[in-house]
Amino acid sequence: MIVTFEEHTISYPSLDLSAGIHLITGASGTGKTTLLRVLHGVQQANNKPALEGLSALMPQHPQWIEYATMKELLSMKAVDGFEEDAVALGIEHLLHRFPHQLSIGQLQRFALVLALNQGASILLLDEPTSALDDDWAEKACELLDLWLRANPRGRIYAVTHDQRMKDSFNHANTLTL
Amino acid sequence: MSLWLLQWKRKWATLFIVCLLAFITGVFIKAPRALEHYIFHQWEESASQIDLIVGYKGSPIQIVASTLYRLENPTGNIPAATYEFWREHPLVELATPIALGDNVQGHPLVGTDSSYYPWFGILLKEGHFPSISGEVVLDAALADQLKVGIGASLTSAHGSDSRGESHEHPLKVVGILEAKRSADQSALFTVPQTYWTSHHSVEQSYTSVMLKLKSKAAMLILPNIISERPDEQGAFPVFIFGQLQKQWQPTIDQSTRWSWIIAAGVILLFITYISNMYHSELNTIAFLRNHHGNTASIFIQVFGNVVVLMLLGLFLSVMIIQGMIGVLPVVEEWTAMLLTVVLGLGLLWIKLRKS
Repeated sequence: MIVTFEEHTISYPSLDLSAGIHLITGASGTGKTTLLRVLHGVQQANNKPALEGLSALMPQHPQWIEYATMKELLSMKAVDGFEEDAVALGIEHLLHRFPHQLSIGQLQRFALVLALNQGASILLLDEPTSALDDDWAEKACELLDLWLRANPRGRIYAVTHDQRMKDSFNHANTLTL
Repeated sequence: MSLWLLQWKRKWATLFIVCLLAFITGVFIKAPRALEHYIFHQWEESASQIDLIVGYKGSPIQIVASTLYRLENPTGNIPAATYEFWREHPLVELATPIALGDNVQGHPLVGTDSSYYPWFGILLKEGHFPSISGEVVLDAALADQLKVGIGASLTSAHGSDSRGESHEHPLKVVGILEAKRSADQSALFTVPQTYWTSHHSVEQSYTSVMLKLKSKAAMLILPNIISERPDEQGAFPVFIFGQLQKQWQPTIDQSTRWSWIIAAGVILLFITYISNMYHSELNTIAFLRNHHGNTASIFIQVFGNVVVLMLLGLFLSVMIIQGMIGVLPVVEEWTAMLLTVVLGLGLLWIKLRKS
């Protein structure tokens, strides 16, 4: 699969379009994040692989609307019921805070809740556990597993270097760039 | 919750900045015109209604400024015989005597006859015009300011301010007026006899006589007649006004030039503000892009209500300025300010397309 955008050309291995989780690994600068952005449609590109279904992107460094509380942000883009996942990730008591009042780890958990609750059938996750401690990383992987069970035709493409995640999904297809 | 609702969290800051910038821009563009409007157009209008003013020997400017606008002290007094001479002159259609020199609580007291009121479009709202010594009338707004109504008593004092020596003869309010000129709105009117009574004058006298001539050609003949009469000075308001305008015009032209320079600076500030607003919204734009927002929808969501606020601010500021100086053509100002907004939004659109 050859993707071209602006003046760049990146050659990717063929993308597995089957349901389930797909881990994307590889050295820095090989285009992992770019692939997710192209798949999500925020990066314009030619020869873009066609994914059927609505996608949700969780960037490695999520950007938030600074003057909105986390609850307002989630209410704007997430479907009803996101509070349950917020409880599971231990951030329900932080819903009324603003982004600048939260740690990187807390914001990453909010970003995961947002990705899981957009009614999407494709999750594009960029290092979803990189800022989490072992307990919350394990909990995050459990939630992703639950999501896959609830969405049997759903697909997750997760860029990760995190061994904990690789261990949790040791049965997953791995795409190495 | 939509982003539109979230944006309203910042409505006061945005509205404040927009109104402030628009207001400053508008004021600096408008101020010289307002000055010109008040100094010239309004004055010219009343000056053009009087062909000639005859007063005591002295400065013609002083005669016009005191008789028409009450801005100067009178040059002196002319005897009643002078008034009679001009009233009966074959070239004169109308002669109105004016007696000045006293005030009521700092407002000039004008002694005149009934011909003065229709000359300047003054209407009677209540009561009657003064007919005997001691009766006064005044504009409704001034009556409110002095807290007087019909039947109220007032005291006049000598000179142009209330620190002058008070007269013992009381004045009685007998009518409320609706005056058009600001000079008439801030004055009280009475009959000339009031002056003679309060000053215990044996000889009847006036400050000046306003004349309406039967033909404009008379304006060429009358200066010679006046110059032959002792202690009299003629003043043609239109010519005096022309001299004043020549003196003021360079100042107004200069201030207009400075206003445009300042307005250009303010417009630059406005564009800088829009640019800063874009940078402060980069995270919002990224958030919306990551959630399937396209350029048009982001533009509408992020800046749509700001645009509404900006236009509201511009509209408000123009309305305030218009209210301040009365009805004047606004096309230039609207065009300038709207072009600024369009320019700012165009820059935003280009930046959004590239981000």
